[in-house]
Amino acid sequence: MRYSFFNLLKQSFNGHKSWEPAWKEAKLKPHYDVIIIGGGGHGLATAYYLAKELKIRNVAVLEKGYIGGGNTGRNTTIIRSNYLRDESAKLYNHAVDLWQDLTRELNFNVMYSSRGVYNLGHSLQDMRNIERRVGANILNGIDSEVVLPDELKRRIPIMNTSSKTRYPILGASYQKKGGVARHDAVAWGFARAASKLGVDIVQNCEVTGMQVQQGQIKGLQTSKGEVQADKVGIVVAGHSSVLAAMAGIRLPVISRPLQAFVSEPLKPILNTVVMSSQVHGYISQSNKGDLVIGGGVDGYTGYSQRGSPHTLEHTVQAMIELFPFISRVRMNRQWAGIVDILPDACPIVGKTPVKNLYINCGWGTGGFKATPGAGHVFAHTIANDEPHKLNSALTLDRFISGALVDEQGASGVAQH
Amino acid sequence: MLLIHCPYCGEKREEEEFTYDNEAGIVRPTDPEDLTDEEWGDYVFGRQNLCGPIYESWVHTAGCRKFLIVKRDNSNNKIDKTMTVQEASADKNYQEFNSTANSNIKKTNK
Amino acid sequence: MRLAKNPTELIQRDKPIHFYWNGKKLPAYAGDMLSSALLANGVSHVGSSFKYGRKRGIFSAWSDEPNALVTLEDGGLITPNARATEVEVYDGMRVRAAWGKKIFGIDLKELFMPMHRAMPAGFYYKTFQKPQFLSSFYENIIRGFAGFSTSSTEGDSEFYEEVHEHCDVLIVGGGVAGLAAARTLSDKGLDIILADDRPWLGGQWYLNDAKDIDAKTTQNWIEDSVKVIKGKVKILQRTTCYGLYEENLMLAAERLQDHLTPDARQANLPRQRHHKIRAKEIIVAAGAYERGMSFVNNDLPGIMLANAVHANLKLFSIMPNRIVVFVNNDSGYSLARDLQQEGCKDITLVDARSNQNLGQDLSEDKSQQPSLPEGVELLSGYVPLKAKSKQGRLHSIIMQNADGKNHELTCDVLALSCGYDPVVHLTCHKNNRPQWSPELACLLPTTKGSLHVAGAMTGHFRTTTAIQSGEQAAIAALQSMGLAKDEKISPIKHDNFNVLPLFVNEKGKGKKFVDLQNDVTSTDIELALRENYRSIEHVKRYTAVGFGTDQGKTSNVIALNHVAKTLGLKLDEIGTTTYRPPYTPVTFGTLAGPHASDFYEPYRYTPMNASHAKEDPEWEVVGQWMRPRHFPRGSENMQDALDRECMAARNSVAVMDASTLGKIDVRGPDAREFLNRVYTNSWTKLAPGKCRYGIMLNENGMVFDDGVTACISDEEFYLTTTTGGAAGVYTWLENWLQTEWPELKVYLSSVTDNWATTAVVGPKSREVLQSICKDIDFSQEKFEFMDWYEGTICGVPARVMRISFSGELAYEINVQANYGKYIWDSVCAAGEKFNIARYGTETMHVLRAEKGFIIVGQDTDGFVTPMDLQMGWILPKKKPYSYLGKRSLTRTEMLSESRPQLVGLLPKDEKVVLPEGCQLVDSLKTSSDMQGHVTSSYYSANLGRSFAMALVKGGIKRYGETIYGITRGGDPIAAEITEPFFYDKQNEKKDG
Repeated sequence: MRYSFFNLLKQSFNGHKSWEPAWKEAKLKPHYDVIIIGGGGHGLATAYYLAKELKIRNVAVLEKGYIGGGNTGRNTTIIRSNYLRDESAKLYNHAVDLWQDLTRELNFNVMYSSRGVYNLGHSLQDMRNIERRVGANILNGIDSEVVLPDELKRRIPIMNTSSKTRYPILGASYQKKGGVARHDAVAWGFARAASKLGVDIVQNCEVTGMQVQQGQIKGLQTSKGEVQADKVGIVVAGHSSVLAAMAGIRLPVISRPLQAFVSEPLKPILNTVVMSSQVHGYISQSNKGDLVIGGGVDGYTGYSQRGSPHTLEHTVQAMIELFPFISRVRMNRQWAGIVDILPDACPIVGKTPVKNLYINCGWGTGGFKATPGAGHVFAHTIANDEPHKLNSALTLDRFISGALVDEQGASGVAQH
Repeated sequence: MLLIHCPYCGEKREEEEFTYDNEAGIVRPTDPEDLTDEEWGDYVFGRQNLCGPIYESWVHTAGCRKFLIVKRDNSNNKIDKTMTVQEASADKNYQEFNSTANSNIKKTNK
Repeated sequence: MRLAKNPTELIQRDKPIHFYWNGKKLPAYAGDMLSSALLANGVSHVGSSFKYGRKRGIFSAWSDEPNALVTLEDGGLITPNARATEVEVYDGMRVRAAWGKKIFGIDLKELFMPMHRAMPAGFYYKTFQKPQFLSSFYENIIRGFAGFSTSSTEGDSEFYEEVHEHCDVLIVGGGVAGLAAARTLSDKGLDIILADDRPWLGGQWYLNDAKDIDAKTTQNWIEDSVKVIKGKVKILQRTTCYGLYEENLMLAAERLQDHLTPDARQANLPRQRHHKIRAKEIIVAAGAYERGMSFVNNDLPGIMLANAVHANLKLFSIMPNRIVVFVNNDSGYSLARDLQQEGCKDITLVDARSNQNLGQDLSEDKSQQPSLPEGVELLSGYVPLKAKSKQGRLHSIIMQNADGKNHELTCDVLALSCGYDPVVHLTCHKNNRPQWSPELACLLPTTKGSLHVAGAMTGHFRTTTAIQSGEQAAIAALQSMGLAKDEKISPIKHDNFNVLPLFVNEKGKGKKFVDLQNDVTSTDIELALRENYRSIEHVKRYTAVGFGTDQGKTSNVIALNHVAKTLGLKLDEIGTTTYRPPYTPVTFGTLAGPHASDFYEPYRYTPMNASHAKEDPEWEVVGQWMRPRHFPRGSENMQDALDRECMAARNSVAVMDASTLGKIDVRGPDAREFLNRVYTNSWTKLAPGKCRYGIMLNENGMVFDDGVTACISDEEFYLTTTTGGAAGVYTWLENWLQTEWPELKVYLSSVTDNWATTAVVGPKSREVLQSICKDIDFSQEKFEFMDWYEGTICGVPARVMRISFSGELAYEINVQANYGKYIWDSVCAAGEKFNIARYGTETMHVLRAEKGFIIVGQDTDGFVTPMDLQMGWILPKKKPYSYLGKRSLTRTEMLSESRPQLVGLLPKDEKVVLPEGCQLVDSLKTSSDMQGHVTSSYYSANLGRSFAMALVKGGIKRYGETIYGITRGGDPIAAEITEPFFYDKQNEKKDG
C-alpha cells in the first residue's frame, strides 16, 4: 500500500489494521547474485539501486542486528556537500541531489530538511581554508558562500559572536542546501523500497566467515548458515576491518567511537545547523525540539559503542562557548557509534584485491549525508565490476600509489 | 573511562593522563628502499584494527611521557595488562599475537 | 486538600510562602515540592502531552514524572523542562507551564483532535510527501509544535564545579537499604560516600511504614541511622548518580542551590557540582518506581501512581476527596490503610485479583497478608476499563471484571499500583543485562564483581527486608575488599507481593497510553509490530516510546510486555533497549564543570606579554597562544602598520617576539644520528656553533614541520619547531626514540617555556645588539650567517643565533624565560634611536613571503612534499639511514608533474591583493578546471605591489603563464605565475 495522506485517512477508519509490513522478513536463500553485508543506510541503498536501476533483484542484505541499528541510527544526520576535493565533493553533491527527491523516490518521508549548514572559522587559517573550500565548491557547482560575523550574528542571534571569546568566530562557510534528515527513515525507506523490488533483508544474520577460492569470493558463512554469492559488497562502517580480514584484506581503517547526545526538547530556538571543527562540536535542533549535538572522535579505538565521558564533556564545553544559553539546558540522552577513520578522511568505495568482493568504508564521521549517493555508485561498481566515475578516485589502491584524497587539508592548522 | 597502570610510574592513573598512539606491533621496515610500493603502503597505512583483545601503544603524556604497551579488549574496554616497551619485546604472548595477527599479511619487514 | 498537621510531613507550617504559577500567586509551605504545592492548590492541569496536546496532571512523585514539565524562572536563572515532582518550592518561585500555543485555553494540538485517528505512530513517514515545494511549509508547522519549555537566550548567571573523589564504598541511594548498608559499614574505618538524589533521606520509606524495626517507627530508624553514620559517612544529598563507567567511575550531579531563592544563593558557591567518584566498591540501592497500566484514557489528570498519592499524603499532608486505589498486588493496601487513618472518607480499593486468588496466594505466608482497612470498600477481580473526564480531569473510572461486568466509580483521584520497577539503570551502564522475574513481574538487576545491589532494586520492597538486604550488600562489599570472612551469604527471599501481571487492558475503545509524554498508545505499538518494526529498538524508534525526558521510566516495562504479548514471545526473547547514561537528564553546565567562558581553555602568553599589551596591538589567537598580529600606531589601519613595520625591518631595525616556537633540547652521543633520521637533510657535519634549517616529513612523505636547529656541542642540539607543531613534534620524536630506536642514546626535553626568544631584524640589528652586548663580536667576519654565540646581553646570559626568517640581517636572542621581558624591553630601548618597530605575526608573514619562505600549515596542507615546495635541495640522495618519509617520495604518484607545486603570483594589477585561499583557474571559461589555490597573499610596501604564493598544478613549468583568482562576488584577478621569490633574489641582504 502506498504511503499517502489519503491512505492514512482511509486506514484511520479501520484502526490502521491493513498496513503491510514495511519490509518482508526474509529467509536466507542458498544463493544470491549479490549479497550486501550490512543493513545500514548505505547497504540498503546499495541493494535498492541494484534492484531499481541495475535490475539485479536476486539480492540479499545481511544484517547482524536490526536494520539501521549501527551508525545510521546513531548519527546527527547532517547533510552537506561543501567538501574541498573534487573527488569527494562531487560524490557528496551527487548525494545531496538525490536527497532532494528521496522522499518521493522511496514513497517514505525521510524528512530531508534543507535548513542550511554553517561551518565556523575561528582563526585566520580557518578563514583561508573556508575561502579555499567555498571557492572550490562554487567552481564545482555546489552552493556555498562565506558569511562574516556581522551577518552571522543577524542570522543566528543566539550564537556567541563576540570577539571576546576564547576562539572568536571570524566567519563561516554556509551551504543553504545542507540540512538534516530523519536517520531511521532513511534505513526503513530504502529497506521498504528494496524489499518491494524483491531484495531479501535478513536481520539477526551475522557473517562469520568468507569463502575465497583462487582470489575470488564464493560465499559466506553466517549465523544462519552458509550462503553462496556471485558478488559480495561489504558495507559495515565500524567493523570494516573485521569483515575485510575474513577475506585476508588489510585496510588502512581504524575504528573509533564517536559520541553524540541530545537535550530535552525545547521550543524552536535554532533553525539551522552549526559546525565548528576548531572547538569540535556541531549542533542542530530536531523537529521534536531536541538540540542534537556531536563532537570530536574519541581518543582511542573501540568497538564497544561507548565513548569516554571526558570527550563528551569537551564537546559540551565547546558548545557552551558557542551557545551560552545551553548551559542551563539538560542532556537527555547520549550514545556512541563506531566510525571508520581513514588517514585522508575520504572513503573507500570500490574493488578489493579479492575478485567480486567490493567494499564501501572509511566515511569517518560523515557517512550519513552520502547515503543515497554512496549506495548509488556502489551499486554501479558492483554491477559493472568497475567504479562509477564519481567514485573512481576513492580506491583502496590510493594508499599504495600515494594518490590520497586529502580532505583533512581543509582543516590544516597553520603552524607559524 | 579507563584507569591505566603506567609500568614506569608504577601507578594506575586516569585515562586523561595518557594519549593513545597506535596499534602495537607495527615495526618500521629496516630497509624501506627495498620494498615495493604495496609493501611500503601497507606499513604506512595498513592496520589490523581487530575487535577484541589487542595490544596497543599509549604514551603517558601528562606523566612520565614514556610509551607503554597496553593489552586491552576494545570490545569492552577491559585492560588485561600494561608493559614497558622493553617488557613487551620479551613477552611471548605479545610476540605471538603480533605474528599471528600479521600471518595473512605479506611481510613488509625483510 | 491539605490535611491538618501530620507527624511525618516535611512541610514547615510556620513558614508559609508563595510561588507564581503562570503568573498567578499561590500559597505553599517551605518544604513543599512544586507538585505538592500545585496539588494543594487544586491545580490539576500542569502539562500538555507532546503529540496530541492532551491535558495532563501530576502522575508520579519523583524523577519518573512524564507529564508535569514546567519552566522555572527566566533569563540566566532559567530551568527549562523541570519536573514539578523534583522541584522544591521556594518563596517567590516563578513557574510557567511548558505547554504549547493556546487559543482560548485550548492547546493548538488539541484542535487536531478530529485528525488524531489519522496520526498513528510514524504517520509522518507516510505523509507530508507532496507537493515537494510545500515540504518546508509542513516542516515549519511541525517545528512550531516542537519542544516543551522555551529556553532562555541568555548565558548562565551561575557557575559549576567539578570534584574528583575516591572512596572505598559508594552507596547510591539513601533509602532504608542504603542507610542500612552505610550503618553496617560506618564503624569499619572506611571512606564511604552515600549519595541520594532527594531532598530527604529515607527514600520511599512512607510506602511501608513498618512499626517493627527494633521497636521503632521507620522514621525513627532513619533518624537514628543518620545519627549513627554522621561524621563517618560523607552524605551527598540532592545528588544524582547518573552514569557508571569503567573501573567504577560514578558520575554524579549535586544540586547545591537550586532549592534556594535566588537571593539566598551564595555567590561563591556553584549552582551544581559534578562529582567524579572512583569507588572500590559500589552498592546501588536506588529503589524502585511504581508502575501503572494502560487502559482507555489512562492519562487524565487525577490518575496517579499509588506511591505518588502516598508521598503526597505522608510527606505533604495532601489528601484526595474521593479516591479509588487500584492494585494488582499487595503493596497498595498500605496506601488505603494510611488514607483511611488520615480520615479519608471515600476510599474504594479495587483489586485485580479475585478473592479466591487472594486467599490462596497469601495463605503461604500470613505475615505478608494485606489487611483490608475498616471502612474501605473492596472490589475484587476488577481492572480499569476506561476513565472518564469532566472539566479536563478525572471524574470517574469504569472497572470491569472477567465476566465483562462494569462498575463505575466516581472519584477525583485514581491511584495505580501495578507492581514495582527496580531502578536497574546504573547497573546496566556496565553492560549487565537485567533479567525478567516472572514472580515479581519486573526486571531485576544482575551484577558482578565490585558492584552490589540492595533494597527495592533486588525485590526487597518491604522496609524490614530492604534493611536486611542493605546489610548484606555491605557485607558483600567488605568481602570483596577482603575485609570480611568469605562466607557464603544466603540471600534473603524476595518480597512476593503476589503481583498479577497487568500491563495493557486490551478491552475498551479509545486511547490507551503506554508512554504518556510522547503519547504512544498500545495500538501504536501493535501497528509498529504489524509493519515489521519488531526489534525492540525498532519499536522504540518507530513509536518514540521511552524517548521522552522521563526516558521511559513509566513506559518501558509496559511497552516491553506489550510487545512480548503481541508477538507471543517471552520477555527474555525480546531483550530490553540499552540503558545508557544519564540516568536522569543532566544540566550541560554541570557536564562542562568549571571549564566555561574564561576557563574554557587556557591562554598561553609569552614572557614579553606585558610589554606587548602596553602597545595595545591587534592580537591573533594561534592555537593556545595569544600573539600580537601587528602594532598599529595612532590612527594607522592594518595596512599602514604592516607597511611601516615591514619597511623598518628592511631598512632599519624591527623586533619580534618568537618565543612561541617549540624548542626541544636534544642530547646524547647519538643525537646527530637521531637528527639524520628525523630530518631529511644531513646533520653529520654540522659543527658546534652552527645552525641549520631542516624539514620533517611524516612517513607518508609529506612536510609536517620545519625549523632551525643549533649545534651546541657534538652531543647537544637545540631544535626548534613551528608554534602549532611543538607538542606533536615532541611526542613524535619521543615515539621514534622509545619504540623504534631504543638503541640510540638520545635524551629529549621540551624547553619551549624555558627560553624566551627575541628576533632582532634589519640592517641596523647588528648595531643595536652590539650596543647592548659587549662579549660577542657581531661583525660580519666573526659572526657569520647561521652561526650562534653565547654571550651576555644587558647582564643576562644569552644564546644569540644569526638566523633569518625575513632575509635581512637578523639575530635571535634566546634567554632564560624570566629575562624575556627585560631583554625585549632592553632591545626596544636600544633600538629607539633607529625608530625600532615592534612587529607581529602578520608582518612576519609578509617579510618571509617576500623571500619565499614557507609556513608549514599555511603554504602546505598535509599533502605537500618538499619537491612540491621546490625544496628538492633539502633531500640528499645519499644518507645511510632511509630518513622518515623518504620511501614515500618515490611512489608513482609523487613523481607526477601535475602535482600542485609552490609558485609565486604577481597580480596584473599591482594594487589588488588576491584573497588567501582563493581558487585559481587557467581561463575564464565556465568549464575551466581548478588549478590550485592561493596560500599566502599580501601587499608589500617594499615591492610596492601585491604578490602571492600559491600551490598550482604543475606550476614549476608554468612561469609566465597567466592564471585567474576567482573571487566571490568580484571580478577574477589575473596574475602571472612566477618563481616564489620576490625580494633580494641574490640573498645579499642577509649580511646587512
